[in-house]
Amino acid sequence: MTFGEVTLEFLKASKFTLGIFFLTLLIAIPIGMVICACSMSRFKPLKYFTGIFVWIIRGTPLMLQIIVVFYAPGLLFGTPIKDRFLAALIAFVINYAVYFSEIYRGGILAMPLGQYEASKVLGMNKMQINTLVVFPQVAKKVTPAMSNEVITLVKDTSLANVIGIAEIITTAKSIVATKAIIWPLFYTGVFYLAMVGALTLFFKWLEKKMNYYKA
Amino acid sequence: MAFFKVKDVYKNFGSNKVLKGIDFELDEGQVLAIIGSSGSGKTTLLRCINFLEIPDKADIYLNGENIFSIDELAKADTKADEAVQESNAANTSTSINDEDAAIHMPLDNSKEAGVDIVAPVKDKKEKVKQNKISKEKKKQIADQRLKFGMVFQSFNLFPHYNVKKNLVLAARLKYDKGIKNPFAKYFSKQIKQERKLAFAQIDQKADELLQRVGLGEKLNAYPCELSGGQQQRVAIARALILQPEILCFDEPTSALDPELTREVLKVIRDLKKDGHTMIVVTHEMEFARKVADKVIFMADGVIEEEGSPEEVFGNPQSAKTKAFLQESEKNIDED
Repeated sequence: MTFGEVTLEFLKASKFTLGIFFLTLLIAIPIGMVICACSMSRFKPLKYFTGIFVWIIRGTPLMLQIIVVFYAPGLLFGTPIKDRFLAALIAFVINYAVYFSEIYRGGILAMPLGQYEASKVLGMNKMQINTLVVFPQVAKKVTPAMSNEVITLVKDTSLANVIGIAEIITTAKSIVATKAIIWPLFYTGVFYLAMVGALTLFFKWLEKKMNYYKA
Repeated sequence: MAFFKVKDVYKNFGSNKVLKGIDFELDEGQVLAIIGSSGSGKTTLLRCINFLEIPDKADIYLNGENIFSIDELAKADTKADEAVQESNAANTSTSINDEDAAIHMPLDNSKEAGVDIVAPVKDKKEKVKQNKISKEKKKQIADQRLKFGMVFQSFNLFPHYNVKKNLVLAARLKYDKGIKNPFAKYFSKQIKQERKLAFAQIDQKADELLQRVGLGEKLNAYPCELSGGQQQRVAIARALILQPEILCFDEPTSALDPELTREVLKVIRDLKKDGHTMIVVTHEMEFARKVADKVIFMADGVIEEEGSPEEVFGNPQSAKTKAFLQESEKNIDED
């Protein structure tokens, strides 16, 4: 197999990688906010329940979670998930939403008490304090941690090969197995590097854009 | 009756009794300076007046109207029959933390959890009951709070908004609150126009206030671009835009060097000329002596001495006041 052919195969496979990446971000970012709200809730049962959930998701490997999401419905209820991509997506969304929620929580806890007090004496209600004072500042605080997590997500997409999704690593493995050449496996690194490079530039730009104030 | 009257303010933090019955009166246009050593309760008193802390017991009158009245202490006393003293105190403070938590949730979760370790589980029911009371009071508190402006030691400007937005934000929200149908501002042409006009007026007011504190040209600056003294003056303007009846200052110059302190104190002195009623918690004895109409010296949660600056500084009666004033003068000598 020529270099060009392998590249073409990888580019085709990138569609899955990028698909999981963007869809996970799109869904996990808002769901993370919901989980964050639950884990900071004043309603104790919800708070504890969320705490256990976060523990389970952070406490087990993502690869295992992908396997569980893919096989568990079929084994438990006899309704297997036919779409492998969907199964992987669900696992990624849950896993990353949990990690995002903890990042948000850290950002909210880092807010100085004085900001809440100043808002209160200016007559703002809880909703206004959150949307006008807290969230804009938290967004800036969490950007570096989020960029870290998002970059990890790019590389974690390779875990989807455990249920046989034809993403880059899976494709490389099958080329290695069928064509008896090893170099495509190493060549995959270039694709990940390219994607992470683009993300790094994006987050650099974003941080610069949010740097209109310091605090 | 005096313009502003505070009666019987009690406040406990757990078993720590911070305020043990504070009474004072203040006439319109007067400046009250509260002095005292650290831990004497003066900041807590100011925060109770502002409802940033909910006092356990207090009666507050403004313009002859009883704007706030609470007596959790009496309730706590009846409970004391069954509960031990210690858990009782913890329970009271739990209810207060809840009150706060209802308004800003995140930080209080940790506080609450901390208290829960102290408070026995059997008091859970009581807690729910107290919560109900404070919920009724919450709206009342939110309304009354606007009658008091507050200037903090650490300024607490919103760092992500420029100076102008810092000023107009609360005033705009207050205007929007007055619109009966919240969606009308998007659809009704007339209300849209009125709103635009009102906002323009608010902008103009902000401009005037910034001129008043000598920062007319800083309209579009961000707080991080300003010096501490300038930030504090913006904070004063921000407090003034809602036209509070009483402006409270919590050690407004403690984070500032002497030169910046001077510019902030000058603004406060100017405000006095404009007839603003103010309560200033301060360590600036010279300022208290020259600007205040009335001085309160606090020690261990009670008012140890009160009177005109001449009386308190010139002829202190209590031994504690004498000791405190001597000590603060000593500091100046050593400098």
